[in-house]
Amino acid sequence: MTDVPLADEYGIRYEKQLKPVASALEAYLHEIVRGQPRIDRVVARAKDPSRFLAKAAKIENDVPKYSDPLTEIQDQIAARIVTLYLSDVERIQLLIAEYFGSIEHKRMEPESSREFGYEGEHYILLLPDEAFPRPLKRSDGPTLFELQIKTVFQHAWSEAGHDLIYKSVIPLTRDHLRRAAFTAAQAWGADLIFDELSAQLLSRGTSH
Amino acid sequence: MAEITHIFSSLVAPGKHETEPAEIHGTAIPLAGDLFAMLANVYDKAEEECNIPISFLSDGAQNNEVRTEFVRLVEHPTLARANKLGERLSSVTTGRSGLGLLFFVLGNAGNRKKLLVSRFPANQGILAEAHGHGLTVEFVERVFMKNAATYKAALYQAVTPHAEFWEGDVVDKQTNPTGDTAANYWIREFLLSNLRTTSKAGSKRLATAMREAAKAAVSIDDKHQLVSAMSLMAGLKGQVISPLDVFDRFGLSAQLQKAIIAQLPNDESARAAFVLDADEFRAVAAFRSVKLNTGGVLTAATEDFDKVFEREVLDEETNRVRFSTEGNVVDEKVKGSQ
Repeated sequence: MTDVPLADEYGIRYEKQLKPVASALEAYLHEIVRGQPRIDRVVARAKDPSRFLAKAAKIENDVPKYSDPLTEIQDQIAARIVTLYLSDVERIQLLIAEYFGSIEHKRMEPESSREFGYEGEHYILLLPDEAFPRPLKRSDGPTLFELQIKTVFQHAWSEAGHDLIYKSVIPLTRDHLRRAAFTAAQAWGADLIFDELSAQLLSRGTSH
Repeated sequence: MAEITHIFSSLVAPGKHETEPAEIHGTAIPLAGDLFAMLANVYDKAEEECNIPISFLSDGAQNNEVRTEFVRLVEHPTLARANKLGERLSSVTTGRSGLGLLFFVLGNAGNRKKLLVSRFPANQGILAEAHGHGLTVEFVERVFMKNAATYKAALYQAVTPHAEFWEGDVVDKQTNPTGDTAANYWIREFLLSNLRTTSKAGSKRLATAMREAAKAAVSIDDKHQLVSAMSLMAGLKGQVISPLDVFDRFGLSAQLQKAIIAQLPNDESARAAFVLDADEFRAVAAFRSVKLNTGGVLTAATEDFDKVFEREVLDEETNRVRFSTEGNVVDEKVKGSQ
């Protein structure tokens, strides 16, 4: 398989299938979280063709990572639910489990207890029928999508750092990494404190 | 017609709770002859017949041992792999389900790999042969039949099985209406799967479609039939249903069925089975209201409406009715027009 036909094939899929599927999925996720407190945003997107092709071309152990990128890359559709506090994330996780079939769940956090960096809850879920409104059919698009559930601080850190740090085109120095880790630590600390404050103040608020 | 590349069959005896389960015997079926023709026919009709969408359960890290075996079987078909799956079926088969013949039919449909797994239950039969002016009858202990009541099958199709194959479709005649045992046996225990549509998702989807169909209906009769059917849904709590099942159970007209299907996300959603969550259904369709041409509006909880208000038809032709109810006033309010 050459890049040219893959680019063409994905380009057609992106316009005709993935974009409408992402849009319908976003509407469905809004419907699922409707009435839930402290939802900051719900978004879904189809993977941009340039990012898809870059991922499809990845090499691992000297061989292409994907033998059939169109079926193997699982985040062609990705969604994110952003909420305010850590306890809200747990509540949304329970809600999502009731409406979606899940094949993968990862708590994303740095491996070492001494590190600070990217955090969030990542899922690979089955796309619901609602993501395929007429005239789309399930067989038209992917089976799975990626869902991230994050706090606003986790979201802000990943957005600010995605292109700058994660996708950096130049090798990061120790100083760059330490600065990035510092901002991640601040986001982590803010989450922790806001969660404690919300537990103390929101429960008092509802009891009065 | 799809191209069949391999057929394997394993004889599966009940092995659940057995300390020493029977050894699995299997064979590769030649791709010619009467048996092949019969299985090819089953294979060709599988898409129509397997109409319950399911998905494999996962350990949270994209692993499911049955899915893994199915992928291996499709990518490198051998009798040993088929028999291994036969062993698995045996380990979940009780005496009640009995002896069965398991078939694995593998093939290609366009650029997709296709796998049909089907179980023919054993039955007893009588073999009758006419010869000359006579007839001989003989008892046959092990006849494997595609029994309409107990036949089970699962169909998987994918371009790249190792990446896809998370979803399939089954036929399991024992799933409805309260066939938890059968669903446990074939879908959950053997296939390590679940209905693809979760209880909450399916209940919300159906309630929304019925509510919107009632809103969109022009005829008062159609509205009444749809809303009445919704009032009765709580009675199906905990049962495995699909929108198509609901149509049958409430005898909804073809026109109403079409109206509900039009409100589902797509046509395929009509056959998606799920376990009815009555609370979720109720949350979408909590209140039923009737508006009269006098300006009167009656409202009650959907499933209680017919108990709260007695409806008396005064004139069928003009659709004139009288509603009556009795109770203590607990509140009274006015609402603005905006």
